[in-house]
Amino acid sequence: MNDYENAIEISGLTKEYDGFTLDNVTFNVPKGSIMGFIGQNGAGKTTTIKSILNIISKDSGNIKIFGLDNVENEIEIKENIAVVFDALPVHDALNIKNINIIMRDIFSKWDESVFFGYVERFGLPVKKKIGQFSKGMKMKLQIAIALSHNAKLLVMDEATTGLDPVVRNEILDIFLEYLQDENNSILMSSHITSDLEKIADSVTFIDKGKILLTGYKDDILESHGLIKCTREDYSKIDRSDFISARINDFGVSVMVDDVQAAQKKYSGLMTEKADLEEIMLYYVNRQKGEWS
Amino acid sequence: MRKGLIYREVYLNRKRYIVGIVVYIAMLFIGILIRMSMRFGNLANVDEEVFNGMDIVTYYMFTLATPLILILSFSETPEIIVSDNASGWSKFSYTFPITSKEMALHKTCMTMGGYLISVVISIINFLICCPLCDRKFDVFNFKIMTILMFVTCLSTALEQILTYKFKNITLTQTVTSLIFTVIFMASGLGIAVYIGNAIKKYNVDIENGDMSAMDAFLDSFADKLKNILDVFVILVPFLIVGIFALEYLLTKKILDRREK
Repeated sequence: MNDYENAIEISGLTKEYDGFTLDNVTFNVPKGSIMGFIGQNGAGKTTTIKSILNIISKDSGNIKIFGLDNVENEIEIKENIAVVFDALPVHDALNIKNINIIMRDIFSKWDESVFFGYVERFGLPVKKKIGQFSKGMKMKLQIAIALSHNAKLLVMDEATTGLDPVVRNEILDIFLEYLQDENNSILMSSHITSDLEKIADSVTFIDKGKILLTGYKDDILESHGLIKCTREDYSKIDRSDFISARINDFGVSVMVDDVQAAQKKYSGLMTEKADLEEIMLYYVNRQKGEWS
Repeated sequence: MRKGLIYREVYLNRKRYIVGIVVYIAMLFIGILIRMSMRFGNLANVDEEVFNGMDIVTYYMFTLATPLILILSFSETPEIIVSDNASGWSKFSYTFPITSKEMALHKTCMTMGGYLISVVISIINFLICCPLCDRKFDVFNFKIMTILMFVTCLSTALEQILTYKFKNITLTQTVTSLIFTVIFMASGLGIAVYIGNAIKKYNVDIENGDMSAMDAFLDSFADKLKNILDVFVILVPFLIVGIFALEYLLTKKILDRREK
């Protein structure tokens, strides 16, 4: 199972609901990397993750994890996957000791010393009921559970949403430590792009069930840029050269996906670097063309 | 079998088990006090009619109410399945390296385990209570107890399956109650129609004051019921095994289907 190039390979994934379709989703998460899975609420991130985990049945398409089919080799794959949801999915009446007893029997590679190591590191009370934990403590516990069975792939669904910046940073550091092992990979879905900008190697944008963009983060940040101009200058820019344009009282910001070409073609106009959030915003509004 | 999953459910259900055992012990204690008083204390001197009434009430409270309380306390409840959905555990459990077969098996074993424990305690309780209430081994009452156990087994299994299906306690309990109401009403109506037809048949005799034919009919009807009861009691262990097998298969099927 170690001989694989991509931790996750998704091709042509389709899932149809009443009023929403996950449409031909295709992307890869390279082994040893962290991929940010970005999109608005309801864009299809959770549906994609549920399909990866075989929590929902897909209509069509292929999903391979560690080079194995995610349905046919489900048990083998799940021994090596850790999942972190936006909320701790454990009954409030349990405590950490109970969780250790439960989990050591579920995962064959469960490591008590690693688990209690994280619990101690995070300063979590062992005997206190989980219902009395704060949101940050619950998330830390979820991460401790996820990292204690020697998983090769960490899948996170909006795991850092709602956490304060201190806890978020602490958690992001843990993920970077986890990635020290080059066999480990992370798929991290979030709409907080600043977190992903810090740690992701590659990103995939999803909107209304369709993948808009996927690739290495640095390549995406390098190729995209914002042209800041007046309305008059904006009228001279070809529609085919930009993703969308934001118009306000001070002028127009135009997102381009080939900043070097744009700089050559519109040499008199000023270009700026764009961050992931801006790129996401302009892509989401691409069909409108112009927005404010 | 995953001991961790069983541990989890036992831990989450522990309060219900404790309440069940405490209520049972309290009932036993109160019952023993009443029976002792009926034999040696003030209650030995009460009116014969009152004494007989108390004798029947305490006897049935001992022998029939106990298994009911125990089975309901030890059986799986819809609450835990619903709280598993609410806390996200159900979704989380799909990320575990556990097959739906194992999940369904452990759920069924939990129900079966709780059921067996309560049945064994109920039978021991029955064996203690008969002499305590000045009765020999009461075969008829034991048969009634067996049927009661069957009905509670059926209702708890039905509740488990319906909760998985509906993910809602109120809806589950409403549908379960409806199913049992329909079963009991159909049985009651069937018996009423059967007896009603006999009354019509022997109406002339009854009007003439000759009850012998009607009495004979009622005797034969009672015998028929007794025979049905005898056969049913023999079938109960097999039916209970069948219920558990069906519960396992349906739970597995529901878990296999996952989210649509």
